Amino acid sequence: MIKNRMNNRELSWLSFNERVLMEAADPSNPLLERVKFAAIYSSNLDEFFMVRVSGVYEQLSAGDERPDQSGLTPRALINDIASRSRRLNDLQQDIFRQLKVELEREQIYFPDLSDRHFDDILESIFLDEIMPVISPVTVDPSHPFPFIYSRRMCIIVELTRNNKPYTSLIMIPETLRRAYKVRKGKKVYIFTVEEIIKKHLHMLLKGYDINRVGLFRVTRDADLELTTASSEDLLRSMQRSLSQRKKGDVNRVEVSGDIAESSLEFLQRMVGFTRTQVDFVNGTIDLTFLFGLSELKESLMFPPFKPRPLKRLEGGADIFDLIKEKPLYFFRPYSSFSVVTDLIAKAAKDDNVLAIKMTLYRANKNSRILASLLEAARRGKQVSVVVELKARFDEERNIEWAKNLEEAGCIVTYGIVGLKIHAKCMLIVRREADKIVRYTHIATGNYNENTATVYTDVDLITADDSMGRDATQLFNYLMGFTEEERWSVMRVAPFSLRSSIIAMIDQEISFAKRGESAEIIMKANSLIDEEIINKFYEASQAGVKVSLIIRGICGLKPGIKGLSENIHVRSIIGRFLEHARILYCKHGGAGIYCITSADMMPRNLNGRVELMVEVTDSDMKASLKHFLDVSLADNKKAWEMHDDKYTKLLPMNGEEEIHSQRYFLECEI
Amino acid sequence: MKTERIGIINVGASAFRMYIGEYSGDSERSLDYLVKPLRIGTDTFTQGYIGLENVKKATEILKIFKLKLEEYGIHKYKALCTSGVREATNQDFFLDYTHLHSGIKLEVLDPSEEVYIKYVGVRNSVPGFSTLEQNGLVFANVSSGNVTLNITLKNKLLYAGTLPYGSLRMRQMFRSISHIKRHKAIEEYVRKMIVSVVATLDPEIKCSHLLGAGSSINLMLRLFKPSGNIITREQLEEIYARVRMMSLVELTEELGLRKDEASVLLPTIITYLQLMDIVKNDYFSFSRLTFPHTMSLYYSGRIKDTHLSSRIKNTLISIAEKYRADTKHARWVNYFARKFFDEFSDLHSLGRDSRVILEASVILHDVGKYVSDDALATNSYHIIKSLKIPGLDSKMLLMAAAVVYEGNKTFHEKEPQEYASMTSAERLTIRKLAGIMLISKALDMGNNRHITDIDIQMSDQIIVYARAEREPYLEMYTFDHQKLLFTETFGTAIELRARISYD
Repeated sequence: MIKNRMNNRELSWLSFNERVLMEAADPSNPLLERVKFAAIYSSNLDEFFMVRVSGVYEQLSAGDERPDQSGLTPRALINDIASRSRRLNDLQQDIFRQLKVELEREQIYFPDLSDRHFDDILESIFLDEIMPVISPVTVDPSHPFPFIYSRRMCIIVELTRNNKPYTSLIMIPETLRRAYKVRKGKKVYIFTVEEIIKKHLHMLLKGYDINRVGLFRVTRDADLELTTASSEDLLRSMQRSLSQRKKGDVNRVEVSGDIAESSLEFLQRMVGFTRTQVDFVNGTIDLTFLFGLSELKESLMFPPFKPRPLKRLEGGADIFDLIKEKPLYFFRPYSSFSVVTDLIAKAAKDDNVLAIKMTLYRANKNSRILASLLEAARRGKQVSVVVELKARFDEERNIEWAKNLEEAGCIVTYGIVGLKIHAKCMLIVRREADKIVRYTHIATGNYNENTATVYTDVDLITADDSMGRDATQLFNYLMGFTEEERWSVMRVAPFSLRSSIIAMIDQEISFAKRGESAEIIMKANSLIDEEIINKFYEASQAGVKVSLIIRGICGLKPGIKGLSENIHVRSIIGRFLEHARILYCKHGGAGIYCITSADMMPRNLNGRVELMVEVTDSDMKASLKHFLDVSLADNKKAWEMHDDKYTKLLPMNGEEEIHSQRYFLECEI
Repeated sequence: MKTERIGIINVGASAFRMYIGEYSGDSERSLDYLVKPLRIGTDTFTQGYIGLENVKKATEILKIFKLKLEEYGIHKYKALCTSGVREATNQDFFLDYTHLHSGIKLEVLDPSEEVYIKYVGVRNSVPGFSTLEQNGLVFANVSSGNVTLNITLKNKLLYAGTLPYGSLRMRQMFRSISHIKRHKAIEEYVRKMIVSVVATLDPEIKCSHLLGAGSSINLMLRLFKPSGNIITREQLEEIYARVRMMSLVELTEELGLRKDEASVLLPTIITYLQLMDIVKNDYFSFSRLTFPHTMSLYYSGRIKDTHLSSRIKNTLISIAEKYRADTKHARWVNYFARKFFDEFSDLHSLGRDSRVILEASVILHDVGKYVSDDALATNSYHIIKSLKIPGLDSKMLLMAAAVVYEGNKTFHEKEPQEYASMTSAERLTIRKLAGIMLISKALDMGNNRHITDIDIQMSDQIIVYARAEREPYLEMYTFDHQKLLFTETFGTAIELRARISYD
């Protein structure tokens, strides 16, 4: 019996974030893109501590000492997370230092503030922009220690006046920008707000002697818990929970490397955290501000690209006719998502369209799609939107959209209590020659025009009646119009998706056992579901060749003798966020291709409404095959997993370099 | 080819269902199907009326259904309620409130029409249905409110009845009994139903086949997920042994059923198990057609009962036999009545339904004799109006009963209560049909078929030429005395002349 058959989810995630960080060190990426990867690393890690680490702390506080499938107890896991994230943070600061050197060559500087050269301008920034909005709190009996909000950069200052010690806290408001760019000729100098404040503390704390100064930033639990019992209360409950988000328990405290021990002890006493939760940063805390540097020089970014229009649409034929003739499909961001936005816009204006329905998980600001829905509702069409209020960190925007849609006369529902709506589906009901024709759009990615240019996804638009009927049934279910949970061609979580995947793997196992060639390829963001992993192990042992392209968390251990020697796992990290979820089974040569919104995680398969559909169009199947083949051949941006470690692949001697994302940008799939 | 979309709403005792179908020529396309559990039957079967909370919930569901109609641009719909509303004392309030607040106009479906629609639906969807009926068929519509049984053998309806043994009704009746013992009470109660049905049948009769229908089938499908259309006794017994002592929570968790389904599981299983006792086979077959789907096919005219008239006639004859009426005489009179009806179409301007009513009246005109010769009109009236005949709704049977009453009444018999609520048009129809029935009856007054046929000549007056083998004294006399109602109703003189045929 092989012990610890699975990798730990949290550690596997840290490993993913390490791969992201290594993109910041990859000289083949343009310089400002590398800077951006360093920012992504920080942003990812914040979310990790706010959500995932909170869960582990909850286990700990509940007294759970049982080891998980990887053999780790919650306590051991917390320690592992702390030590690994510290190591990665140090690495990140090293990379940032190196990036700063390279940025200087491009005339972008992070100058030392002791350089008096910038005194005047920095003083102006401080006096005009910063000072009016900050209020130091000097702690004394009449000024108690303030609540420290999550992810707010803070300065702690030890002071004396008349030989009496004081401690002052400055919380930098969110309204202030994090970095100020000062341009001198072609040169750009960047200063962080905390450094500017530090430099001018004497103006802020007049009459005090400033002894020691340190920076800190706490990260709190932001996983919302909704206690509502009915969907009618969902909106109100969500609004209530959001106001609590910033007040969760502390999970991490980043402090500047130069913070005084006395300041740290004071904070520990007042805020309430352990030393395990402290991360000393020898450099700049919170590099998410580096996102703001990307516009500095276009030449230091990835060359701009324009998503390809769909060839089938070039002739100017009616899109509804084209879809009826044959399904439309495309791969984001290589092909333009405007197919979908244009389709909705057209539907909104089309007199024959009776109804439009869609799920909304994460929409962007100024969404054209939502504007079209508003227009459709104003034109008297029946517009139904199932809004997922629980889309993490997009809750407020979704609440806002929900209100706007309702005001315009759309039917807005908030899904089902206890289940997140993660399925991406749209349905257009159109009357054509007095008959009803239903157009269904199914995708692996959200209805978000911004992420559609950054995330890789697959979209399918079809007029297939079985699909339309199932989509109708899906919306009926999501909107509380029916209790029926049966679908004919769609596989829907939490009802039939898991069992369908298991059945498909079982089919391959039976092919292998009969001595036939059997193969499975799965592309997903995460794989941590124990049942699915065990089924893959079973498949491997039966002789099925399993290739997994898992961008992020992977609980499966590939290549282990007697367990998983037929399984290969790779992860692609590149310019675009790999997001398409595809499942292929050889099925005796017939080749079954499915696209799905679900990741292979218990939360997706048990606690979310997710969709999976089989692709039947032969052209689309061929495209999916091509897409998977190229992804599996990538030797430029792919990492291969061995046990729980990843190694970056490189072209072998004489081997052609294959950079899948670049390939898809250049060649039509 | 014209395409039409029809929305059907069925307000059942335990759930609201909606089916939307699109029809073009002979082709049918199912567009949508919705199910919303709401157990209004729980109120009706326990307290006699639908509580305000459930009236409001029902309205909310109907609002959803209205949205669905709008989604498909449908203006033509049928929204029909069955026992949960039909038996509620506040039926009128329910219909009015829901209409006012949801915009959906509900109608209450007559029980016999409900059974008939289900019957023709199944008849059209089950291959070899006629053979099954020939060999003896128990057709059981097991739903939340009632169990409707039709027992047919050699194309004769031996039994037809709607019995208050619906699964939700039973569940409510025995809700105070612990779930450990509840199955015993239900078993006993269902047994009572079976015994009372079997008692009406000839002990020698054994049907070969049980055919299930109704909302119970959805539950069976979820439970057994059968690939074909058969559930065996073994399957039912196995699941029964497993679940009979389970609580509602255990049933939902173990079997993955919805709460509303789990609550009616035991009564449903017990009903099917005991129904299997009255057939030879250890299985029952079923049709997957849902009731709303069937209604959609029915109201769109996609299912037609091609043998309706002969089946009704056979059933009427078998009922007449059961009440020891002279069926040869009944058939003979029926022949004349149909001939008159068809010849006088310009005179009476009545439709197809009236012809069926006339046929029922004529065949059953003597059934009251089974009780006594006294008050024949009243006895016949009560017997006929209490019958359940698939294809004849209760209104038609009431009309037939009234025709018989009108034709047979004596001056000392009190007019039935229902007369008061009849419209003048209905009363006129009754008089017209009774007038035809009386002159038809007169043509075989001696029950000996002396008059072999008739020829009708219509001018200023109507002359009926009777072809007879010998002088039909009794018939001539009776015709002369019975024609008054006809003459008064149609305003035309009518005369019978005999033509004796000689060799």
